[in-house]
Amino acid sequence: MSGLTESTDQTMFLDPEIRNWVLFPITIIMVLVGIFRHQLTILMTGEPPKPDIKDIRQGKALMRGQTLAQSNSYIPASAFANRKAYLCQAYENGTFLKNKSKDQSPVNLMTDPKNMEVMMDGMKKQMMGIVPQTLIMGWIQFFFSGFILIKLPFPLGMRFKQMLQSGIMTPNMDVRWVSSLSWYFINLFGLRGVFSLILGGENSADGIRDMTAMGTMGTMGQQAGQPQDFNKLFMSLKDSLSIVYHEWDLANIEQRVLVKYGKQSQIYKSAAR
Amino acid sequence: MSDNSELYKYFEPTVQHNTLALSNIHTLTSWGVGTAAGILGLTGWNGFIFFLINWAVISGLVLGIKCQGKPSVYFKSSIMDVAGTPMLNTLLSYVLVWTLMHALVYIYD
Repeated sequence: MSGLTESTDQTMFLDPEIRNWVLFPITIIMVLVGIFRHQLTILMTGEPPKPDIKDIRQGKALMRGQTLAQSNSYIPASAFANRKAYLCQAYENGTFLKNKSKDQSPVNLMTDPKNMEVMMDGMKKQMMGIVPQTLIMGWIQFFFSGFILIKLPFPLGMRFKQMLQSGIMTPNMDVRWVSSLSWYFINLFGLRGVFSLILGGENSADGIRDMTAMGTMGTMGQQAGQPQDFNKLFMSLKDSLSIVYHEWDLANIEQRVLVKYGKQSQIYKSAAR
Repeated sequence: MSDNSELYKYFEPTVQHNTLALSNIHTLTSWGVGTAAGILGLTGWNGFIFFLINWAVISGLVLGIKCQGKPSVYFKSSIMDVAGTPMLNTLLSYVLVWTLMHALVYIYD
C-alpha cells in the first residue's frame, strides 16, 4: 500500500465548528431516527385480520401432515401408522377443505379483502424502512455538501474518490479526505451495534436490512399473488407421507443406556422395533 | 440405528440469548478498542492489525472466562460462532469509532 508513506500525507486541520455542527448532529440524528422508526414500526404493526375458522383448519391440517412427516422419529411405529392412516384418509375425503368441493376456483388474492390488509401492512413496513434513509440522505446532500468533513484513518483506492468527495472539485486531494455523505455511510454501517444495544436484539432500526429488502422487493411481488389450491397440496402431502421412512429414536434405547453405562459392550441389532 | 441426540442438544431461546449477549460484548469492546486506536493515531494497516490483535484477545477471554473453555456448551457451532461470525459487524462498528476518535483528536483544532 504505497499511499501510506508519511511524505505524501496531506495534513490539514479543520474548523471545530464543522465538528460541532455537522459531525455530531449527523450521528445523533441517525440514532434518533433509528429509535423513532423502531417505535413507529411497533405502533404500526396493526391488528392481524380476523381469520376464518375454515381457513385456519385447512392450514393447520396441512401443517399437521408436514409436522408428522418431519418429526416421525419422535413417536413409535404404531402411533405413526395410526396417524398416517387417519390423515391420508382425511385428505382423500376432503374433510379439511374449506369449500368441500374438490375443484376450487382460484380466488383472486388481489381483491380478497382480508389479504389486502396484510399486504398493506407489509408495504407500510417497507416504506418505514426506505423513506427515512432516503430523507436523511437527501437532507445531508442538501445541507452538508461541498466541504470536507473528516479524514479516514485508512486509505482507499482512487475509484472511491468520486463517490466520497462528491461535492469537491480538487483532483489532487487524498482520497482519505471525505465529504459528509461518506460519514453518513460509515454511520449507517457502524450504528447497528449501538441499536442492538439500545433496542434489544430484534430491532427495526437497521438501515442495511432495508437496503437488502429493497433489492428483494422486486422479486417478491411476483410470488405473492398465487392462491393456494389446498386440494392439490393435500394430495401431494398424502403422497409424501406414504413414502416417509419411519424410524423411532427410542427404538433401541435400552441397549444404548446399557452401553453408555458399560454394562453391555455394544448394541445388538434386533428384529423387532 | 440413527443417533439423533444432536437435535436435542440445544434449546433455541437460550442459544439466541447467548448470541445476543456475545454481540453486546463485542459492541462495547469495539467501542473501547476503536477509541484507543483513534487516540493512539493508528492509521491504515496498523489500525486493522490492532483490531485483529484485540479481537483475538477478547475472543480468548470470552472463551476462557465466560465459556469456561467449552464453547460448544453455549453455542451451536462452537469457536466459529464466538470468534468468526461476529467479526464483520464488529469491524464496521470499530471503523466508525476509530474514524470518529481519530478525527476528534488529530484533525480538529
